[in-house]
Amino acid sequence: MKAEDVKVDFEELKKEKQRNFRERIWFIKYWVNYIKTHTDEEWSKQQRFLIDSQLKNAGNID
Amino acid sequence: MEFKEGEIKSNKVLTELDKFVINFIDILERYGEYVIVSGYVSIVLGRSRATEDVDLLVPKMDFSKFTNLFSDLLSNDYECANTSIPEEAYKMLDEHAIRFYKKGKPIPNMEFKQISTNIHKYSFENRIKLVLKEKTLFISPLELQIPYKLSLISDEEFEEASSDKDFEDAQHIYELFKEKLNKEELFHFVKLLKVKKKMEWLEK
Repeated sequence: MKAEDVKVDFEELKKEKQRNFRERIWFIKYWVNYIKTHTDEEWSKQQRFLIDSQLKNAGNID
Repeated sequence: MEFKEGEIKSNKVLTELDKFVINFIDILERYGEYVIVSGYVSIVLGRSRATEDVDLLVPKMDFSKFTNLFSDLLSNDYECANTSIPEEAYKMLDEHAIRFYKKGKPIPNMEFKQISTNIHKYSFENRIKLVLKEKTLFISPLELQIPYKLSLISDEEFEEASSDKDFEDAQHIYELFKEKLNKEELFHFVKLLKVKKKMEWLEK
């Protein structure tokens, strides 16, 4: 398919954004529940993995 | 994580971002007080995202104290993104925030802002203690932090219910501590910042 053949259905795109929003909110609640049901050490090791890898990718961890 | 009597205790394992903040605060505390606001508050309370900057509010310092802080930061391997001249940096603070980061590493950085509005003042005067194993930090009161984050979302974006980090930050803090928040104070700020509809979404 060529780029000029792509048609955008804006109604569908809006629905996709709304679905994405609902899924993100679902995950926030899921993650908060994880924090509440696990020790600080457990949840924060996962958070550390995420944050440190992002900073490492930015070249800011030696 | 435990929240009682206006104090949060967390035994979290520190991230590199936490270590960066603690290192900066260790130096700042030699010269004055502060409150951490905005995105990093959600992050240090467990939100699963990183950030490029950490927002810090400080009361206005006299020039000599600021110069000493500036030179202490520089001798501890920090640089100021805006200027290397303390006089210039001091003047800038009356207009806008200045940023500090570890030499050659602009991410993450500390956004250092002078207290200038009533919201800032309230945040500072009602800051809460976050007791980590390694350090006690002062963060914005959550009853203000949540509606403030909601106020940053544009109404158009909100109507479309699109993904937004500010909404998610507010949601995270609300879900985590909703049983512990002072509802009267929370709804005072919801009303003041005109975010009633957004707050209703958050409570769903």
